Amino acid sequence: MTALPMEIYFSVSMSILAIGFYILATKRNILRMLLGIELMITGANMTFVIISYWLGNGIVDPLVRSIVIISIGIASVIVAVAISLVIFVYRKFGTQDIRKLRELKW
Amino acid sequence: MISIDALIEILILIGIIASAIYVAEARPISRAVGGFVLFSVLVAILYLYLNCTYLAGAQIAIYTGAVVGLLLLGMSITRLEVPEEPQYRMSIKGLFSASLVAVITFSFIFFYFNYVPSVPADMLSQLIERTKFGLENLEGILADHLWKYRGLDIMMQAIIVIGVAAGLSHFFKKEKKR
Amino acid sequence: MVITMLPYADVLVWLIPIIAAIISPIVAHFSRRLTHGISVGAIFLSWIMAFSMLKDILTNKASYEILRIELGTIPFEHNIIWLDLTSVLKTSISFGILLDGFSVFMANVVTFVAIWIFIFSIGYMSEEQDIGRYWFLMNIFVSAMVILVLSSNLIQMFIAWEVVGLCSWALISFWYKSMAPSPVPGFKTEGEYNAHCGLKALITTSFADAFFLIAIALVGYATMISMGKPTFDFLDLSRSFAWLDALIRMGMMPIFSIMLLSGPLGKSAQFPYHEWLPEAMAGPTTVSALIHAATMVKAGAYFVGRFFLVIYMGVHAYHLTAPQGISLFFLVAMYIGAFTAFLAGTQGMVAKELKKILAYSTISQLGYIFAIFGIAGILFSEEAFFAGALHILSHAVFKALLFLCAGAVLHAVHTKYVHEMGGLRKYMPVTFWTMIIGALSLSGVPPLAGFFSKDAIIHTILEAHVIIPAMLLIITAVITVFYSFRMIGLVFYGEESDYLKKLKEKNHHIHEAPLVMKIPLIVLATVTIIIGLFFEPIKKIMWGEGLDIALLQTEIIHYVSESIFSSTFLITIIIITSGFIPAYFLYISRKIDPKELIEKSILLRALYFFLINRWYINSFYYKIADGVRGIAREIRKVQTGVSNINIFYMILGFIIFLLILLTI
Repeated sequence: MTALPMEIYFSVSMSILAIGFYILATKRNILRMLLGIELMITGANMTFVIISYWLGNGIVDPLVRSIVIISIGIASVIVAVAISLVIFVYRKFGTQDIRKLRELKW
Repeated sequence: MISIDALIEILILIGIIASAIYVAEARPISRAVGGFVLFSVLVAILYLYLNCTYLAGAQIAIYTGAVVGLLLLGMSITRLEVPEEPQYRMSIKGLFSASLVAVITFSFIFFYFNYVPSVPADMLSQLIERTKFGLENLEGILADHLWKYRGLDIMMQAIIVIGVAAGLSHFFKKEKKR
Repeated sequence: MVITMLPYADVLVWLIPIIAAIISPIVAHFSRRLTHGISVGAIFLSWIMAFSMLKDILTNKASYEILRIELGTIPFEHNIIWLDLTSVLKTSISFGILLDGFSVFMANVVTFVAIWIFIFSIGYMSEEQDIGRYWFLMNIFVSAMVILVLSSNLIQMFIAWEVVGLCSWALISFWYKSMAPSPVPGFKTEGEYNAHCGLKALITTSFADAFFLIAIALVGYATMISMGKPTFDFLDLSRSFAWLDALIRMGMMPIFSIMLLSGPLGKSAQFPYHEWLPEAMAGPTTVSALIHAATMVKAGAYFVGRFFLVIYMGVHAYHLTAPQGISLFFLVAMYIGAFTAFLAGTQGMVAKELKKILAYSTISQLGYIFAIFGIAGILFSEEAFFAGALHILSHAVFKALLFLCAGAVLHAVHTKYVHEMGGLRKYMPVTFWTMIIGALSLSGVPPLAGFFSKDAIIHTILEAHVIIPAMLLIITAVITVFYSFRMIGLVFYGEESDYLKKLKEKNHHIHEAPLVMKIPLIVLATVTIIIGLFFEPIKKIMWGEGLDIALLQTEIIHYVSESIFSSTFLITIIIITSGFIPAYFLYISRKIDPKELIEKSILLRALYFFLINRWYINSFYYKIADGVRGIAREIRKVQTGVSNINIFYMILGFIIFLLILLTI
């Protein structure tokens, strides 16, 4: 087991989630919000691993590793699609501020 | 007082949180992306610390490699005005270097557990104490399990990496004046 | 006379139009003529399949004789399991075909009328760009309608019911891209108005169908608690009335009857759901003819008839006793039908658009059918049921005829307001004569088809001794004669209006309909003349009593003389003359001017305004809709456009939800 108590690890990964959520709820730049989404996904992955380490007494379950690997793969795809959307939005509206993008196409 | 292990752990954790806050608060986007690179590397080191060697490899390969590459691409494009002067024509060289990166990453993912030492020695001794399987079996069993049941994911991720490399190399072509 | 049932006819009847529907949009890109040919050919084949099923109904034995496969006795059904729910609910939902007299009869009516409407629409839609979409929707509609009438259980019928409603919406809003100025204030273009009309039809029928679905679920529940496993199959429902007793025991019979009736009322545009049909005239005329005169609006009446047959077969074939509570269904149907007939008839007297007059007439005649089916249910009378089925047939034929004639007139004159037409008799003789035949049939003049069916209805109603519906229906019959000849007079007689004179100055000649549009008119007019004489054999076919060709002639003469010398013949004559004479003087010979009459008398003027505003029911519904829209507009303000706030509330809600989940 690790030297520090596991509760600290757990709170760190939860705070990563919270920071990611803070970015999404507060910041205006689209790319920064994309980073926030990535932070949240990484936070969730970390939480999986840390809890499995905690409950498995130092061994991380192979199923959890598989889940996290799939999640990492999905995160990369999310970024790919989101980047293409960001590029499209920039080309069409000329701005990176999501507070100016309030209307769907009618 | 505080053992080396605890110090390393504290540093990693503080580094993770600090770089996350830096991502949130840095004014220029490029610095935020840089903070994100640091963040993902630190998370990979954390995974290594928790004995998930394969996860660390995937984290580095995909986050630090593919995701950051895409973000840099996005940043560069959304700042790009109509280009006045031609860019460097690096298409063949770019393709070659990108495919080299892809091949190295690919082989890293496939064969790492045989060629790359995965965990530091003292952590390894703790692992020997606690594991039920014995040293020479743990890595092999995990790797076998993942390769048998999750082989498709490995291949999919390798394809993503290759695709990103190929796509990035496309953008190094010269932008001709239309 | 009737050929034997072709192999797999009961499947091919609805499968062929589906195949034509799938092919049509693709072929429409290459060749218009081929698309027309495919659709008309498909519907013709479909009718042949339906017609070939008649023989098996006659001989009470279903079989594919050419392939020598025996199927069973009439009523016959075969089912395919669709969702196997035996592990969960002890039942499975199946798709099936039910062949008995009524369903095959309806399938014949639907496909036969559809043939001539499709042929007419070749000419009517000749300048249309989106012809692939049109044929696709029409074909899907016909096949869904055939599935509806041939379906063996309630769930499949409901699915086909909704598909038919969907096609109706899509076809009413067919010209949603039109950029002409809107005829009604409040919309920017005519395209928007058409889309609004389609949406009004869809929402009204969906609202009615919500209650219908609840009633169907109640049937499943009642069968489950009384017979052990839930069933929706019509034959199973008639084999044992335990489900009706269960419903009465639960005390849900009145609610069940009203909700079950709500679906047919919505689909057939009866009160209180009658407001969508006049607006539905915004679609092409062929669509109005097919959907809103001949077929879809008959689906509601079909269901009431089918429900009656379920009860009737239980009583007569399986010797059960029907509980008393079920007559509420039919009682309400009778009163609503009679009232709607009167309501729509009075509105038709003053309508200003040609197709709206016909729309009100459709609502009114459907009220007749509902009233007579109601009486059939209350008295368990075969005669009444048959009168209703006959009126379905004759109404389908002459209403389709009238709509197609209106389509020919609209095609020639390019206006839909009746006061802008006039004196068209010399320009369009064929249309004039066929429309006269249609109007005569609608009014119930012997020896046309409308006379026999309407006479049977009035005869049965008077025998049943229900005073209010009988009075309402007789008054409505007078009104029917009045407005049908008002329509003829305003369109074909009199002088030409200013609009027509302006058209002639612009060198736009008013031409007779082209040949491809004339043929369906002539055929339908002939059918409506002849088919009245064949009602007695049709009755025998429907009840499977065997048909002897040698006795055919004497039977026809017997039937005709019975109708003519019956007690209600005098009433029919009085109705026709008292309706015809005012119409003649007001509109045909134009001796009295209706405008002067209205201005002179305050009572008439008040009545006129009451009627022209559609009894103020329509504005009442729109006020409710505006109220709901106002509420929705206030609630919508919760959704700002800012993503940050949305994400914040989303995760906040998620956290609250998690907390609630943790504390439970």
